[in-house]
Amino acid sequence: MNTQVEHEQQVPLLDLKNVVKQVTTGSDELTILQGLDLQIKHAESLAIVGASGSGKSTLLGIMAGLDQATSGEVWLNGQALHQMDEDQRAAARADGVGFVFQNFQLLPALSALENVSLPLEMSNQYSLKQCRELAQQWLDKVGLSHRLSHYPSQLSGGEQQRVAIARAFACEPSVLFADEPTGNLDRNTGKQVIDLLFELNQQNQTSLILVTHDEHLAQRCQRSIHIHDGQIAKDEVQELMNESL
Amino acid sequence: MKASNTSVGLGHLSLLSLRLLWAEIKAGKMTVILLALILAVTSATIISVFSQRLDNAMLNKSTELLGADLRILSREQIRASWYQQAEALKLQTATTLEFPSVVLFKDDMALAAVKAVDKHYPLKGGLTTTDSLQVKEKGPESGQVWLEARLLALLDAQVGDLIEVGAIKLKVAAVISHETDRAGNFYSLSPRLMMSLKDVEAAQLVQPGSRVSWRMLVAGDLTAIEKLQQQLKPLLASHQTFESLTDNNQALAASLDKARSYLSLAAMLAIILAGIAIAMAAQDYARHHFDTSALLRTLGASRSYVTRVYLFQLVYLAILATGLGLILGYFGQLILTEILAGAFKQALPRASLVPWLIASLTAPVTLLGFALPPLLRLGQVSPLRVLRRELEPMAWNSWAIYGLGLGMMVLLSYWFSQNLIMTLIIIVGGFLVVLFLLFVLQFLLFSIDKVMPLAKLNMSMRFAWLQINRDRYRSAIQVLAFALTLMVMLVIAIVRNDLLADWQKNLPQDSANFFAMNIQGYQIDEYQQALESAGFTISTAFPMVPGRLVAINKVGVKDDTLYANDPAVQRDLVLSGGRELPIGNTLTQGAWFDVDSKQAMSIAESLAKRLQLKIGDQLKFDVAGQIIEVTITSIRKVDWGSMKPNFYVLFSPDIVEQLPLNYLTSFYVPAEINSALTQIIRRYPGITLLDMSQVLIQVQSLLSQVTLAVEYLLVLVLLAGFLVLLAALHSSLDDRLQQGAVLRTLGAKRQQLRQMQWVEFLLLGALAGIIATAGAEIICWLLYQRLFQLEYPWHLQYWLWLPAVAAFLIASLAVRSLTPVIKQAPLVILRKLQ
Repeated sequence: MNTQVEHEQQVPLLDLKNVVKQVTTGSDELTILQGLDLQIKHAESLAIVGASGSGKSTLLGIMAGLDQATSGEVWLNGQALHQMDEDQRAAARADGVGFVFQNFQLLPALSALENVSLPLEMSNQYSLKQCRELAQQWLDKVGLSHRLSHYPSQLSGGEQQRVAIARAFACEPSVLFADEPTGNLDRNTGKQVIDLLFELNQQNQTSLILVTHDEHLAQRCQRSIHIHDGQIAKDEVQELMNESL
Repeated sequence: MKASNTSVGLGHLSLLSLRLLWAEIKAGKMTVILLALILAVTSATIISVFSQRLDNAMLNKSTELLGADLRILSREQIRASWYQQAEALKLQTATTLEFPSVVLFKDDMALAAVKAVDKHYPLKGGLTTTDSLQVKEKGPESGQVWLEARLLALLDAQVGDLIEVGAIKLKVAAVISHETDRAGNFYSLSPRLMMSLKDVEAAQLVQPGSRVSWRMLVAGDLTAIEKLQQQLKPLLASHQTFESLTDNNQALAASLDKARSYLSLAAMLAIILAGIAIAMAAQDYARHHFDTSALLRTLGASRSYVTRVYLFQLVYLAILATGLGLILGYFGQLILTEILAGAFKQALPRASLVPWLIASLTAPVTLLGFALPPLLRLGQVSPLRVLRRELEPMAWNSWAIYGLGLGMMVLLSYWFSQNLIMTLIIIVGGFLVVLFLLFVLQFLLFSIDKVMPLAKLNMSMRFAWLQINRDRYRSAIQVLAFALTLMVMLVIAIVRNDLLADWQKNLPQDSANFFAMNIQGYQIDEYQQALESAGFTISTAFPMVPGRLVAINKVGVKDDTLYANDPAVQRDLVLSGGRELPIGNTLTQGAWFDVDSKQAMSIAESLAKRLQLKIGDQLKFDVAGQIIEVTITSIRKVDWGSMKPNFYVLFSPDIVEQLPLNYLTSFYVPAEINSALTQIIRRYPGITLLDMSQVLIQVQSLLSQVTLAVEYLLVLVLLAGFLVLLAALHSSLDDRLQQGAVLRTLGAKRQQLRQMQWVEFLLLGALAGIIATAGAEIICWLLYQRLFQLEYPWHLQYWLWLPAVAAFLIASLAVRSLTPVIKQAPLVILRKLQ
């Protein structure tokens, strides 16, 4: 246990060194991220804010191993994502990354219970019965024990996002990435979902990295970075706001 | 989720894949692809099993007409060793001996076509006599004869009388009403007398040098028959030949061949429909699962993991569809064969395992050819799609996809039809035609767009046009799916109509069932009058004379192996001629006789081909000792399928006048006034009559049964086509639903939406109808030329109504399926589609 703690103290959760992302559109080359450096500690909550097209989602994709940087280094939990091929990155994701999306990304053909159970089943660590029990516990935690057999189309937006949160936490990830998690929700529902996200984040000591437009939401994170023209324009730590949680 | 899934076991993966698939099925996401697959396997099963059973039944019928599976004709007694060879192959054998002989009863005498049979005759089919309804499996016993009613009339004898046959007297034991292998050819002119082979020697009828026909009949396992045929082939003397149905009954053989081709065609078209359905459903399925794949990837699934998940799903789908399809197909073919068994008056023979095997391979093979490429794309989905929905995986090279699909199609079709020409015409020809039409269509859309006065159109029409023209490739693919389906339906319907019309034309209910020959010139008018007053329908009389072809371009036919081996050279030909080209004959080369034609002749195309003859060649005939020299001035196509007198050789009128001619005529005797014929037979004993009524009845009943089968297959293929059309429509609806919902949120009125849908689909449907008609005409033309040997009647009327019907059908189905856009709240639709 000590070794684990020591490791976590020494090695940052995420370490980005001089990350550049360029895309080619027709004959033009567009630089989205311009030599970006960033370190994120274990159990830290970080908000990435910025205008549309500033490169927030691209940064999130690269940190999560969904996309590859054109140059630079990306270290997740001490693993060099930038040296991995797509399948190795998939294995790294399976190993400790959770996601929550703006558009929920639930599988329409699967019930709420089945959606949460799916990543557990894919891990091949539990029996199907155990997977379903764990999924049920997580749905219970997000307050959806009465909606287990409902399909996504039968759930409200807030409920769908709560299923997505349950699914993300069910695998006990060390870091959870959220892309505009309240973007598709009304203010009240959004607040409830965010409360839930932070609560589970604290309970499970998971790092939380989220992309948002919402200043209030950004202020609830321990730290927020502002992206402008592919670079970090501002890096703020909000100890007080976090205390108030 | 700490373990990497690259090392996940197959058992776990297959179970997860099964659970995902089951969830999809439960949620109704797999309905279309599953239905398409089940439909494919069901129709493949029904058609392949049914057509094999029908084919076997028709083969049985045709072997009945031969009295055996194989028949060898010989002018001398066939060696015992041949029978031993057949027995060694576990085949059954029988012997018949035929010769003409005069038989006597009291003061009357008549020329009879004697047929002496052994105790094993007949091997196939049966004999019936008027005294019993039961089919007799053996011919007459020693000491007895069976006669045709006509011979009894000529002899004025009764059953029970003793008649003189050569040196002995035999008792008339029965009147033959049906002789299974009594084929109608012009050389068995006299009425039948059947006796036992045992009595032939005592009767002293066959002397050395007598003109007799020995026949060895063989029946049994078809591979053994083939083997025997191969063994005996090199041993055949020049007077010995294998006989097949074709030699004796060209009308029936030609019709049966066409019917078989039609069955194969139906099977092949059903497979094509299945292929289209599966290709569409799989594309649709893949498109709807890009998000799922991306999500699985973000959850840590590797590429190969995702690919394997979908591959397992394919396997499960194939197994499920094959199981259900085979069961449904079993019942389907059972119903069809039950209905047809009534027409065949017996149960249809069972099918072998082969069609079942082929049918059960339909699902895996079509999935492999049509569903694998789109599903493999799912493994290529980038996980980043969860953040950027517009990211789509790279499409496979479209040539690779079409190539794989085409390859599988050719394989399956060839399996089904065993007919390479048909496979190539339908699949490769069809593909090229469609590809060409697709280019034409894109070009048309492009050109119309240039001149389309968009600003002058109302909003609905403008929107509908933009919709079609915005993505021309996509619209073209959509039109292609509709057009292919319609084309398949049209091909099967066109062929059915023309085939039936062809049979009907050749065999009308009152087609001549008796032929009268050897009518002297002075008798012909009187004889025709006698027939007419008896109430028979008479037809034109043809002059005729038997003659032998002796030389071609001054080369004796016996000196040239090509000529000498042709059956037309080995026997007398029935020669005719005159001023008029006989009905049913068409000139393919040269010109018909005019007043200046001298020493000219017209030859049938088939014989000209066999003997490699052309216009200008000189032929020499021996007609009753008179040598006639003529030049070929025309070549005719003769419809051997018609039950009319047909001639290889027709002479110009100047030759007809020189020859010792007699006449041939044909007439129709309705069954209810058959007795009136007896009087005429007695009044003109010198005229020989050929009774074709049995053959005609057989041909007609067989054709009516086959017609029934053809009708059922047509309905089946049309039904399958209709379902595929629905599937095609279904797969293109999501976009339309979403668009409709968006338009409604933007304030479009329901009526406007309806109008847009009608205009768009009427246009797509009309384009599909035009392409389908053009494609069907080309394919049918090829089929008729290469396969059915029918004249192709271009179907101009289809061009008028088919595009309109297709447009209306497709538009009304589409608008109906798009009702939710009108009825439901836009948000509900958008949410569902998400």
